[in-house]
Amino acid sequence: MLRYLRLLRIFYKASLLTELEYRANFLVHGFFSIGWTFWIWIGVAVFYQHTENLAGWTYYEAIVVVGMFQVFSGLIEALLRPNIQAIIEHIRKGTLDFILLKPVDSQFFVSTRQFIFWKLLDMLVGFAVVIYALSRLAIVPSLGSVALFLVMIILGAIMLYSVWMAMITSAFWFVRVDNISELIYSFFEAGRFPVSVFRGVVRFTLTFIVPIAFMTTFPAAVLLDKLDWRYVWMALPLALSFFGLSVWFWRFALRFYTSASS
Amino acid sequence: MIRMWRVYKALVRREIRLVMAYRVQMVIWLITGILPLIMLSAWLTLGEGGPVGSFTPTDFIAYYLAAIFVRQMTGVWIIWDLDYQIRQGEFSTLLLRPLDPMHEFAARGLGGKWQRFWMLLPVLTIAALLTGVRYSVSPLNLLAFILAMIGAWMLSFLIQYINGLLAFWITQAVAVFDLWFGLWTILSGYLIPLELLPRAVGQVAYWLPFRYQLAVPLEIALGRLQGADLLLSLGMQAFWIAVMYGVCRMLWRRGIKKYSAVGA
Repeated sequence: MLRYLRLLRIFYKASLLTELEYRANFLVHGFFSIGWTFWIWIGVAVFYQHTENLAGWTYYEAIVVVGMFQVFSGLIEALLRPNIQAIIEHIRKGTLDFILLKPVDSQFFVSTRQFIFWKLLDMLVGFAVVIYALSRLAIVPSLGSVALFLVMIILGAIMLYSVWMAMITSAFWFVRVDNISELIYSFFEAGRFPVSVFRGVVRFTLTFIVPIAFMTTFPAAVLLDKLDWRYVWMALPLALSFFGLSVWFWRFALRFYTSASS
Repeated sequence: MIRMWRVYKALVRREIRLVMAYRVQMVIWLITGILPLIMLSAWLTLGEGGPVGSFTPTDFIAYYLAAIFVRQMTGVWIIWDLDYQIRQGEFSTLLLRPLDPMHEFAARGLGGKWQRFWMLLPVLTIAALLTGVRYSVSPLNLLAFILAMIGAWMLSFLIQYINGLLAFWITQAVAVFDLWFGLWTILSGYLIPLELLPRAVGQVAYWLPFRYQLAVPLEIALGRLQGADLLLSLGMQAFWIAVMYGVCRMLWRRGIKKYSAVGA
């Protein structure tokens, strides 16, 4: 465990050093982050021109969800996308060989190798939106709910990672799945709305199959003190099962890895 | 003219075969276009309390089903390839051919439409029948719709081609496109019917090119755009196509000089 933490430190130190060479990126990206957030905000705000209450969420409550959406966009862009996209390349080109030979867990290595620091700005902007919306609602969350909020974010991130990883792992069989990540994005887009906006099958899918609700809606609901506690109890077992499944599937798929002969 | 026709026929046919080879990919691409359905669910929830603006729940369904169709049939996805080819110097191969690369890219885009059309049509038709939505299909309206669709595709193509040509000068042409796309999602009526946007935003959208890339054919299909408004919109669309074509030729002439000067 300690060894893995040390590895992470080395990985990210390298990533950070590379990025410090392109410092202007920070500025440009910060500018874009704010612009995008504003745009997503408008997309939600339009609904509140026609109502005060959308599926049980008032305007600023929904804006907390928008903030969470931005937080997770940042996480996706900083950590998940660069690594997961690289896996497809490794499988297609056969360079996964070099990773399998290393004395570390291969799934750990492929999915944590890179970190794009300046995408963290998205997360900062997201949290700023959350704080702003809370202040407009005159809500000061208790220390307990902030802690629970952070735990829910981490569990949501684990779920997202696991689902994505499982989908990418199918690249061992279908080599051409570059666009499978796009599929995750298009589901993720739903996360800009509180999940109760959706009905029936769609809501079930977004809660339990591609659990976007656990990333944006439920953490937001914790802060707003309007979360159904059943979901809190479900979060941990659900995250663990998703994670277990992705680990199992990765190991299973590795057996079918044939490398690429030259 | 006849030569052009033959060239296009050959290129389109080639592209259709290419697309056929990656059917699963095409299915995934089509599924990624579900964002309108997400917006639809949100509006339907909101619409439970009565019509929103001039939109009843059925209108919303009609709107977003048509949005998917218009988007898939007039969408252009060449920027990544164009940008890559220019930056990597592979563009030289295209330049050696006795054909303006613009036509090569245009024909490819058109070729991709064939399969999209036949995959979408049954799905959307069934969805429309099940939900009981109606479109305006008088002969005159249909003619206007087809014209507006062709115009929307041409406009989208020119805009993306211009954007791709920026790669002659800058390395972040794709980032510029992302910005454009972000504006497009709202100002074209793709995510939200323009009528439901705040009035000021809606008015700005009227003068910008985005509306003519998607909302115009869409509103024609719904019968929401008629008479003088319709003619005016088609005129504006033609205007934007002319402007973009002019910009495109100018950038092309300058860019190509720059490109050979680099000597890839």
